[in-house]
Amino acid sequence: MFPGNAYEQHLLQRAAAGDPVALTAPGVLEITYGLARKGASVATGLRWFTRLAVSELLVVTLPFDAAAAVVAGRLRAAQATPPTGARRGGSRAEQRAGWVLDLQIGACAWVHGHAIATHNRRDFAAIRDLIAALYPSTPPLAVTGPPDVA
Amino acid sequence: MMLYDALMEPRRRAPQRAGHRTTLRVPDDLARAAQELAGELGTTSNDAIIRLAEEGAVALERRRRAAQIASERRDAVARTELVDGLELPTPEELRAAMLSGRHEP
Repeated sequence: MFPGNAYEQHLLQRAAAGDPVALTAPGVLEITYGLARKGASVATGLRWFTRLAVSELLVVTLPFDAAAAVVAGRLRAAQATPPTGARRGGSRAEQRAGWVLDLQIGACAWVHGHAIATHNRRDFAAIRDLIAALYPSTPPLAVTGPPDVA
Repeated sequence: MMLYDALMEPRRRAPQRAGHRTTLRVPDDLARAAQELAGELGTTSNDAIIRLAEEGAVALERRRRAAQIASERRDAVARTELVDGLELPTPEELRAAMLSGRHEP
């Protein structure tokens, strides 16, 4: 997502149609951290994203509440490290930190009744399966690719 | 001349719809929104009101469905059963377990 690109247009269209895109609070954390750590070079990007997130008009932020926290904790206990078999960037510690964040994102979307749209379908499919194993009689987490906005 | 032109304008008609006829008192804000939409779509204000209501109904249904799904999932999360005779860990065991997440698995 980038100011003025097709994804931002998609956000605007969804907001105008009364069906704003939802971000999870852990997802907002991840994006904000990535922008903030780059410092001055993307300072305007950080300001743009902050306004987008806190406006609650163009996007809705799903809170990481008690139910999400419980689910994320149980998921982490069930699978503390990211699934093997995929090529991953970063150190092992970074991969684990990323996995914990993904667990939080998946848990948060699931308890709020939402699906996940992501490039990282492999990991979130694994999270979907972990949730299904923990809560078998409930609607599963749907995982799709990112919206086709081309 | 402008009044003549306006009178000669073919009267716009809303598309034919089946359903119950009703009389409404429309709040000013909604009437303005309907007029704007009517202008964009080249239709009547009444038709625009229906379209806004239809959009609202779809959005409401979407929110209800998500809330229903969320409710089922949250019930499952909250459903915990304590089996009779189950022993709780000691305070020290509990504390150690709670803090264990900070260490490598």
